Amino acid sequence: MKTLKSELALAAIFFSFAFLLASCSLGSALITATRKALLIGIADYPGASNDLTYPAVDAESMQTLLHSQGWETETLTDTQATKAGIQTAIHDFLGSVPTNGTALIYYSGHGTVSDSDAADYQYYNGTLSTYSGDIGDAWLVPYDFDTSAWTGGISASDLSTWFDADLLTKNVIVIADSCFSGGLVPSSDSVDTIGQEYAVDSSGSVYSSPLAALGSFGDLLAANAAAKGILSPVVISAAGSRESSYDGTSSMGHGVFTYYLLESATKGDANGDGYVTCTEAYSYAAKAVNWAWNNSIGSSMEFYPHISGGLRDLALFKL
Amino acid sequence: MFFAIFLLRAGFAATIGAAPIIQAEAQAGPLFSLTSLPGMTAAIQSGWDVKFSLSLESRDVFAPMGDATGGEPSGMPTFSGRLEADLFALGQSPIQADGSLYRAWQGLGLSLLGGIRSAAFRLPLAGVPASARLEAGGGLRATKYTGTGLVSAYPAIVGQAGLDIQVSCKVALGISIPLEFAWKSGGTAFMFGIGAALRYR
Repeated sequence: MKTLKSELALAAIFFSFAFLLASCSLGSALITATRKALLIGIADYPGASNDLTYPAVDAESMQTLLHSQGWETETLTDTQATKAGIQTAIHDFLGSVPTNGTALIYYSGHGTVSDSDAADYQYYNGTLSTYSGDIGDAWLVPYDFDTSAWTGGISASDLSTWFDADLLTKNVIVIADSCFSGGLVPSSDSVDTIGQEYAVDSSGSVYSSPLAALGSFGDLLAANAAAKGILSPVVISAAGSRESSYDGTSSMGHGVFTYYLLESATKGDANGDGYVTCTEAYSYAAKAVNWAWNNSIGSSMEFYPHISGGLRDLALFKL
Repeated sequence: MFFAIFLLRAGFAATIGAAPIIQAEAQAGPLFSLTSLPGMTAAIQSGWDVKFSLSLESRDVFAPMGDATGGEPSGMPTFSGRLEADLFALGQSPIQADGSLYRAWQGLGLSLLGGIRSAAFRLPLAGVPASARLEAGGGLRATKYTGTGLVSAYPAIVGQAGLDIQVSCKVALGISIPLEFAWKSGGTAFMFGIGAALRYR
């Protein structure tokens, strides 16, 4: 039995080492590939009635942060950010990112939906008191958006077409701090169990557990079987497809979501590997929006961010 | 904490002579995944898993041996079936030179395995009764990407090789190597780990 005890002690040491190995973060490589970011912020729309406060500042702050971390950057603000201007910047600036590089598009400004006069859109304008269904495609609103004809928005399919035509890399990040931006998030890779309208569960959390997958297990299995492993863009949206996002307070000096996204660059490294991935930045910002905005000063203007994708993630910030 | 968890692998067996036996077990250990997606370099993710299972074996190979100091090996292998529930979590992979990586995920699953257990034999050096086992089967998993609301489900082929040693009539210890191959979100994940056992009979 003495021999057995010795062997057990050795086994215990071995397993302790194995657990230590498993609990450690494996070393990350130094990112050497080209990374380019196109930052778009529109605060000053034609006329005065549609102006926002912080989007241009948001884009400039993101530009400063990313540039300091090795990203090549280009910024379009206000009058520069027309639909054609944005498309041209994607073609000329991001189109030169090599296949192993990363292209990022950050947008802060108005978002809307394609159905300008449908009853379901009026619900969001407050002119109808009940929600009646689909609200149409989500649009980013460039500077030259035609509010009379309700045309000129940038849809997810516009972005997808431009990416397919102009980008060499499949490492693409889209961040949208705009109303209804959850409608830009594709659900083809996996299913986001966070509802597109803000709602907390019985535990007071908007986060789901793996148990949430059991309710739609068959659908998820079918989706998994159909998945082709296509490297779609990682899309982070400030709000759900049926929600608005908001300018922050004067003390924040940014849009609410962007304020916490910027903060995630220094506080969002959950695993301590020195990088803040898209998932980590999203997770930090989403929790912060919920705790610091939805539960206090923004309690009457609640929204919740979303993220898309499957197995693949991309590094965003580094400490 | 993980060290404490794997020490909690425990089992309770009811033995009725050479009749089939039903066992309830718990097992825990570190888990690694070699994850790959088309267009991305494969990478290792590390984490942990905990398994709870009910198994049925055609008879108790340890029964003739009594405790650690008495009896002789039975000389006959036995067949087993196992229904297993899994809880697991994997951290994100290291970041690659192009800035890409694999997301962390956590989940739960259910597996059905069948296999064979060797005849009991005396372990060299320690001289205690021991038995090796080999099991294979299939499973279904429901997972969530950590920190997000993104969930998915996928099928997996599972297997397990193990060695159990009986240290008394009531206590058995073991070591196992769980293996799993999963088709997940358009990619694949080959998972392997080490499970430690402390089993009460």
